[in-house]
Amino acid sequence: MATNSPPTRCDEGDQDVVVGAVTVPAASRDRIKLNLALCKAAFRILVFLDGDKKIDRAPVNDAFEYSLPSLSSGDHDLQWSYLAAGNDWQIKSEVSIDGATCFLERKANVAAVADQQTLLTLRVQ
Amino acid sequence: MGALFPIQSPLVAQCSEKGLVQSPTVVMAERIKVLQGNPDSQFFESAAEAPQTASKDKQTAAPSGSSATSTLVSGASFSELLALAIDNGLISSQNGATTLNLNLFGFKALAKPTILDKQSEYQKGEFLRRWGGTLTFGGKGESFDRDGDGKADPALEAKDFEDIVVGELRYRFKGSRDRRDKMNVDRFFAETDSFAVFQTALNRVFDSHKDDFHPMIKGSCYDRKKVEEYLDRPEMKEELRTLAPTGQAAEDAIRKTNEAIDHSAVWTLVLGGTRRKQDFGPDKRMAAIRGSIRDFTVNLEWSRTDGLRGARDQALWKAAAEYSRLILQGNGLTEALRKDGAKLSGSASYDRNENVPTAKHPNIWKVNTKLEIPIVKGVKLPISVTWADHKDLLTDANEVVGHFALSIDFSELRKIGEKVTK
Repeated sequence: MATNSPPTRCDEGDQDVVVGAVTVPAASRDRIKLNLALCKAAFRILVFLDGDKKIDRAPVNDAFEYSLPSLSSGDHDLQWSYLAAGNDWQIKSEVSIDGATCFLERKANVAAVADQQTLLTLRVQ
Repeated sequence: MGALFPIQSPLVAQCSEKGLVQSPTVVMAERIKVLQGNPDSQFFESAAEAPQTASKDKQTAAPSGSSATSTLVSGASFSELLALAIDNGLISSQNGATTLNLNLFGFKALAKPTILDKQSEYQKGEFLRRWGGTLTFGGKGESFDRDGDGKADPALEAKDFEDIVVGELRYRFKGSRDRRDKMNVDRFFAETDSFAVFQTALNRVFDSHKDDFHPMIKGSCYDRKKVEEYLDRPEMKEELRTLAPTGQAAEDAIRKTNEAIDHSAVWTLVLGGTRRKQDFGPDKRMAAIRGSIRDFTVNLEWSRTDGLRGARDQALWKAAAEYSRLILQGNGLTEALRKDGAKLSGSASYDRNENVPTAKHPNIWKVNTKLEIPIVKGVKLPISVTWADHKDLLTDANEVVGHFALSIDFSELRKIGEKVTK
């Protein structure tokens, strides 16, 4: 993400932790959050949980937060998709469990709509 | 907490490692792009290639090429701000003249970089971005008869800043080509619902096979080989094939909407003037309306220059229109032509001079058509044909026949030749 522009909120923070599956302790099953930092553009945000569309919102500026409902034991799939109205956008996606970050990914100006989503599997104990 | 979430440990591999993939949708996306026939699809141009300010008419001013090193949170001090303004071309100096770019939003962005980052802050600057202009101090005056002997005297260089002051103020009173302005954001999302359709379909495909995908989790990532083998099955290929047109439709909608925004109508009012001390030439005032609509550009301009030694003021009216578009993109004979295309333009102008002693004709009509062919990257061969209602206006042409003049500009090619010879 090296650019000549000044650093943005999407550049800040720890290094990326790009994983596909995270383990969720039973005690934390209702404390899972998706946080998105949205930079240099307005966004359309879609959130899917286990095949259901939970959110479809536009325009979303600056930041987005979604608290997942309490999840039952087993595997659950969280997908978030994003479309930016701008050509120089950045996004920082963060999933936290009980306030601890378990997934962190930055993307910017990706090429195609097929890439403008991330899917994370949550393995609830 | 770290024990509960082993993936947080820096020792745990991330999914970019060989043999792993973050999720099956990553591989699905790869396959869909291949099925769409453009694995390197670049509908979302990189920031370096795409104009963040979509056209020359746009007046924003976000310092996109900034090399600013200020931090996000701390405001710049005046001296830092001045240095950043110079770095970003908001203050420049050339040929003894210092130009201050009256780009208020640009200055604001230098002082507070978060307004470029945060869309909510950026949108608040819409009114400010409508304004632009320049203020130039110093430079060289005009050649004119200073001592009244009937002969023009050489132009003088300004010694003090206030010897020559040139100002221009621009106000974009209608339209915007900035993709981040609210009107364009609303339009963009209203016309790109197909993105949601595609993402929903993609999620549905994953969800209908999740019970097969979940056992492919290896540690905290998916096993790429297993995912690929699964997606290589004929029935999965067929399922992804049905997604490809939906993805393509979304990309087409996004591209078309962005193109429409980039070519939307923009109208700007320009007011300007030149104030000079007596020895540097007469004062001038000007006003203009400039518009861009799709591939058309139109200008209507008026200027008035003070008459010297009791002479009447000189006035110039100018109306011009130009149509330009790129042709032969992707089909040209050379790589440069294929990539950049050739620019074909047609223009017409009318000048009316009132009390201008140096003008031979009070009314001047010109029509021009021009083709600029890129030969190699950065080198163009312009060929133009001009018609004018007075033959003596057709200067600098290779060939003049009647009221027509043909010009072929070999200067850029010559420069290459000179470099090769050296």
